[in-house]
Amino acid sequence: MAPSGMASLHASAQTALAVPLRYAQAGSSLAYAALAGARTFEVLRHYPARDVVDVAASTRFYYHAHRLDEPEHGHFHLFVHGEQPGEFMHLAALSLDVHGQPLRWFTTNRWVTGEHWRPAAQLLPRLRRWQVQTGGRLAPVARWLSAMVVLYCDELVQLLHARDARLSPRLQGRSHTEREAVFEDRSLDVISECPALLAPKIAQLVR
Amino acid sequence: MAKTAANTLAQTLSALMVASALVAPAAQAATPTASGAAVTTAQAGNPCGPSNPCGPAKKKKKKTADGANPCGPANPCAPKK
Repeated sequence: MAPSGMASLHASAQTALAVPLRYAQAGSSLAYAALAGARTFEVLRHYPARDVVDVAASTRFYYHAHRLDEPEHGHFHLFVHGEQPGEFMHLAALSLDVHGQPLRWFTTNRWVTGEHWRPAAQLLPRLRRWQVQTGGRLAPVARWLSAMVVLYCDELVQLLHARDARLSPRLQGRSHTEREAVFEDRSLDVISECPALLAPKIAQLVR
Repeated sequence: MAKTAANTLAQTLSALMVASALVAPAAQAATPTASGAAVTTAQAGNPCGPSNPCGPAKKKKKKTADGANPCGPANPCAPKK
């Protein structure tokens, strides 16, 4: 990797550690911060209620939970906006445990978010420059997510390719109706996943 | 410089691990009851359900008024419009 690329990776790694460290030193964590000050954490509700939208970057994220299965506390969904109004694509989701530590990245089938499906090759340029900026209490969370995307960019590229590779046999040579059925298959929600644990990732970098 | 950066990362990671261990775990999500209060239940959160009160389910209903498919699926993880 070029020195500038390594410097960027180190800077992102530092942000990915420093943001949760500041929360922890204040007796909090990303799992609390992600709720944007809400008093209750309700299944399927978006935090914040209107999502965090970066108009300049055409990106968006929100946090929520829909299963009460330990160890996951909830997960962020990361999106990019398309060129048409209302068009959006899901890049990946990032789950946290109850201590606010990242657990795993995962991709989802189309029905889960109602996204405008695009093959990985079309999403990768957007992934590589994905960042979201916002003000207020969620600003550190936005910085952390942006840093995590840089830090795990290689894994996310593989994740999106794995998503497409898993669906490909079910889509190739099928009619439009059959393809639509695959994208709306409620038995298929998470398509690909990979660990997002910080300690082993940082260990790779400092080796 | 690379060695300095690596040392800083290692130190920050150690500090994070120690500090995080002292923070109370966050409460899990709960399903809202009919009265609006939140309760924890192992049954909550069917990801296939149409139950996101603030999400695309409403968006679908709005489209219905314009003639869109009234039986369209809910997307529990969709971004807000």
